[in-house]
Amino acid sequence: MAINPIYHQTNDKLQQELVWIEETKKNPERFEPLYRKYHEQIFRYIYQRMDDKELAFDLTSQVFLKAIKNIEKYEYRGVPFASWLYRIAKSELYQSFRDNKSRRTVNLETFHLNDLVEEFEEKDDAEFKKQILLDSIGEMSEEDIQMLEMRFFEKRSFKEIGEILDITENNAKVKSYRIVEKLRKIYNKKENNYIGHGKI
Amino acid sequence: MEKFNVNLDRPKVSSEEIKAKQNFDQVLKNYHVTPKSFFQKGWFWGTVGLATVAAVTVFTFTSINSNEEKEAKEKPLTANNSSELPADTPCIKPPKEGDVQQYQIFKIDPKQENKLNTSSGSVITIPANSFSDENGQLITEEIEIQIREFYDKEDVFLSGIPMHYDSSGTKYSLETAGMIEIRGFHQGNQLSKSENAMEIQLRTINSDEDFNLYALNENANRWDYIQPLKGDQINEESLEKPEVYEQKSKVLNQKIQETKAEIVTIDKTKPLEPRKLDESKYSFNINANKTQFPELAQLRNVIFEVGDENKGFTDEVYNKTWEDLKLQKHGDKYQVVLIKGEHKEKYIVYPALKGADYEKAKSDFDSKFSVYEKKKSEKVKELNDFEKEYEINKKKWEMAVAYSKQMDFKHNQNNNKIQNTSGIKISKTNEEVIRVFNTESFGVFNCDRKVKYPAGDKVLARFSREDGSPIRNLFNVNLITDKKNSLFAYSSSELNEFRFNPNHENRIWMIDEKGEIYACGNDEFQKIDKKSGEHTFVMKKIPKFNSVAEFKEMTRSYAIES
Repeated sequence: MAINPIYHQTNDKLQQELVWIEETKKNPERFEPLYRKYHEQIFRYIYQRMDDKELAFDLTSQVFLKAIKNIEKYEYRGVPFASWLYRIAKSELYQSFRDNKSRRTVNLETFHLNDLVEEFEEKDDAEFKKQILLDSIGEMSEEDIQMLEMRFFEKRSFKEIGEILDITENNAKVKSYRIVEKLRKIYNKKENNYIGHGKI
Repeated sequence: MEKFNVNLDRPKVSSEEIKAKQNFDQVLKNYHVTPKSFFQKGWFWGTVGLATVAAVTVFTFTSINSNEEKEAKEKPLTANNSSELPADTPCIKPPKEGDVQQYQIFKIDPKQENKLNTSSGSVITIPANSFSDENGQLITEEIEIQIREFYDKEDVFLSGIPMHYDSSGTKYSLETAGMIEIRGFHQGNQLSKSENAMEIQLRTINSDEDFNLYALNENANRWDYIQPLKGDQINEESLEKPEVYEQKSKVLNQKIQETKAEIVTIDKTKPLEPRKLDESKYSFNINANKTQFPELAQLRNVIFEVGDENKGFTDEVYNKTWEDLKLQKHGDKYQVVLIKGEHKEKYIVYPALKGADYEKAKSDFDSKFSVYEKKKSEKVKELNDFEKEYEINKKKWEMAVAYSKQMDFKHNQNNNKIQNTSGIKISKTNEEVIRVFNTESFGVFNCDRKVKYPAGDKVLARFSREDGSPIRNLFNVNLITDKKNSLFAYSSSELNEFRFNPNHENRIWMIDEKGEIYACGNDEFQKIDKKSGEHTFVMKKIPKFNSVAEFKEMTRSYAIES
């Protein structure tokens, strides 16, 4: 499992963030180091979930604007500032889907699919099975897709997922294991339908 | 149906491109041009001291004594805007007598599936083995589920559940069609989640299609949008007795089984796609029995080509003398069995044609296959329709059971909506629909739509009791109109922008810091000084009440009397 270096920070770095945050409360211009540090991370989080690149950049700016405006409300809970930014990003993202009446996107790469196939312990990696898997992912619930993305595509730790989704680390762990089972159920049903309806 | 666009291997955006788009100056510029409420601005407390005094004074009653005035200047009114509340203020803060809204209690065995029928006709389905303790161990002991539902303004007001919703910097209120609060407890400890999704069939009272599902984020004191929430159109027809649906279910189930059998029969008529003989491969000339292999009957001069899977096949086979030959079919494949005494050799073969025989067979196949395909797709569609109807029927049966069980409650609460007890009649003018969603979380879920705050006349509002004393330290001020099933909450910093539609019947309900409820009716709005736009609303204190019904009666009579 890959490690997200931004999330796993030393205590010194966390303390430095706190200093920037406190300074921002007095002077918004002091937010710049935090903006530089997290801009790419937040953009990637947003763009991963939508198709419009320019809109993703706009939303990223909006996230940081909201963060500065609400910096007074930020409470340090021993985790990186990024978790708070992710929550704002999530909120902005879904607001944008509603405003633009657009559909949420799930972006993944072939090796993500291979990882999932391995989780399924499927030896047969025929192309049509991958297509069924893609279709199955498209049918998952929003809550499940978030977990799938964060754990399997973005390779986040359970601790970080817990912080972003506001659930315990243990709960994140349990849920992530169950996601595979849920996906497998949808997959099996779909596979049976395909066979039953003579699509293969 | 897919809920998402799924992309595979989309080109990546480089770090350089992302970095090139960084523009902190623009973010800062936007920050400076985004208006903050005057209440939050530095100058409000600093440079324009006199303005502060004036602004604060408009929230206080003009007759307050000098001590109160001093206090008012130092400590402005507090109200229910989340951003102005102390951090430890609970998200849900009902008035003192809000506990008249009783929870319905269900004790369940978590090892099995539970269907909870609420008194108002909603159904909550909790799958078996859905709860784990903090260590991830499955809970097998009794679980207590507590449920409350809220349908009108009075319900919502007494619940203390906030209804404001901020979207892109604009403040909205949520108009509810039905709201449900579900809590789970194990040995007195509150559970936050169910490991398996619970299905909520929520009875809602407005069939418009623009309602969405929102979940109350009690930590962040805000509503989170979840999904659109379409209703099952039960308002378009009468809901029958449960037995009717049980009978229909049997009929549909039989139709499903019959249709499945028909599909199997159709599959047997699937025409065989002719194979063009590969003359470089080994083959057999066999006069196949047309009765035994009807699918081959239409083909002329069939030759059986030896399949590549017969790795050991050589022309030695042809040089031997065989006593018998059998042709068998296994699934889609044919097998030739060559027999000499006890010795048998088996080879996979494929019927194939060559030249004009192949061309003719291919042309026949194309036309026959399209007929077969059409027949099958029609049957599959028929099967899907039956299965869909079966599911809808099943849901209606569940609703009918729930409604049947709650006839008494509905008679008491909505006796104008129930026609008789022989069936459960829902008239066409009734807006009730059942909306279904799944959740793994406990908490408060609301079927709402956003509504804009009234943008009509503006009033500079102050509030006093009937004895003339000012009501200060307001926790919650709500404008109620007859046109929306919603509360428009105002904070103290917004009272100088307090707007209402003069063409509506307006009311105000408020809660002070002690949790006392005050109300006034539309006549107070008639008294607003149109020139100055100022008004001191004279509020009546709502006396102690013992039920939601009593509260409704009081506020409705106040609306007329006051």
